[in-house]
Amino acid sequence: MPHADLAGILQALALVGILALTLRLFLTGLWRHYPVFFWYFLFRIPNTSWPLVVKNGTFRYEELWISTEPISWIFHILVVVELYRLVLYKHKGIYSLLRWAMYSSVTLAIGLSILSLLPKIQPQASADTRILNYWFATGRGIDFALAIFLLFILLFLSRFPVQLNRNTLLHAGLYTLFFFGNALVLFVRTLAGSSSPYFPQINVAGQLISIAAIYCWVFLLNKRGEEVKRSFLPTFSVRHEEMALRQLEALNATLLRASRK
Amino acid sequence: MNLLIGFCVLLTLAVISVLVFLMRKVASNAALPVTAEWIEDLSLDKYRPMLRILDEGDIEFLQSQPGFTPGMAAKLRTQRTQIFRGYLKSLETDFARTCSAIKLVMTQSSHDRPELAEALLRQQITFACGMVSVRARLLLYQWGICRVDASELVRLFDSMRVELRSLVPAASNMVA
Repeated sequence: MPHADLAGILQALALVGILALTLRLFLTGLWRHYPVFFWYFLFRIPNTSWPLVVKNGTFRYEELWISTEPISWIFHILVVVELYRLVLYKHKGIYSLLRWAMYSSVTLAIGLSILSLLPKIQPQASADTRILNYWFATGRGIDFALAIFLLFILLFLSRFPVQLNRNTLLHAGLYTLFFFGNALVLFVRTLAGSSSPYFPQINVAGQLISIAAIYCWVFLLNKRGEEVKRSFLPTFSVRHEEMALRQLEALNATLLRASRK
Repeated sequence: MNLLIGFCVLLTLAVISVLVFLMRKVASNAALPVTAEWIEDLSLDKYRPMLRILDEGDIEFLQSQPGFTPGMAAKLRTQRTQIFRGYLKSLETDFARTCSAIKLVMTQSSHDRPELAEALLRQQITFACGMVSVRARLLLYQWGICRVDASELVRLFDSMRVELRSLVPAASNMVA
């Protein structure tokens, strides 16, 4: 199958998945829990539709891609902030610890992301190609930083007896894979260059990662996933309960005596 | 190019493995063996023999006795080291469980406790460093090169134990 046809089919498949996910989020009411996530996918409906009608490689295509990509980056950052706030909201007791973990993760993520940007953009490239390369590099940097940040936050949470609901955990896992996949594809694309014979395959790999994540969200996100199991607090035996009751009775008796005087 | 693609595939597999491991760990975070009885039973008495088990005074006294050979001293050191390692393992487990219990109380709290979070982190790091140091000294002790002092580790454990009891007042009331 020619690459253009395959890319078109994958793009259509992604659009169907995005439509299904947006509809599912709306019908289940989950869009209220994840508003930024919902709006991101709402934005992706037109953003996935236009490449089906505008021919790849044309000036118009390039112009549209350059103007819409920064909106995607902003959404990528916002969905991670939303996820982080969801975790934070449920665990106010470890607010400071989570904040410190966030500072360290962001520092590490940005550091590693800058390191991943080291493969240089060719200075002799034309102005248009240079802009495209800068856009690829920025997208890669942001996605890589977000993936690392999510991994570190998960690592931190795994050290604490926190209980995350299934949807939040699923979100964290899928976002990490999604961002990491995107960053890796962009990384290989930058290194290989657009003239590489592998270029079409790399693009297909990127599309496949995105489609896999979308369909996982479609099939695995549900209303029941919002429920959290009962928290496991220190348990008290019958003996301790009796002792507490006796203490309360003694207090009552003291208060009664005091009120009679 | 093939090498680059191979590296990327390996990296992706590694990330997926780490992700699955972390997600499973976060999902199974609920089960903690923390009960009021357990908090109440936490005691330093258990570790008092540990503080003097490697006391050089015993060996010095035995060395002054007729018939006591260097081989016997070495055997005694090995036996005591093994017992000490058992205590150390138990102390490490108790410390880890105490920290887990404090973390559990913190996560269930509706108020932020930055000073407790800071103390917890500091104590955990100090305990981990102390543990490495004691284990290294223990190796040298077997050859009679240096002494081992675990009092700092026990003190750290005690401070965490007191902190836990202050966080779970029901347990401390019962003890009182």
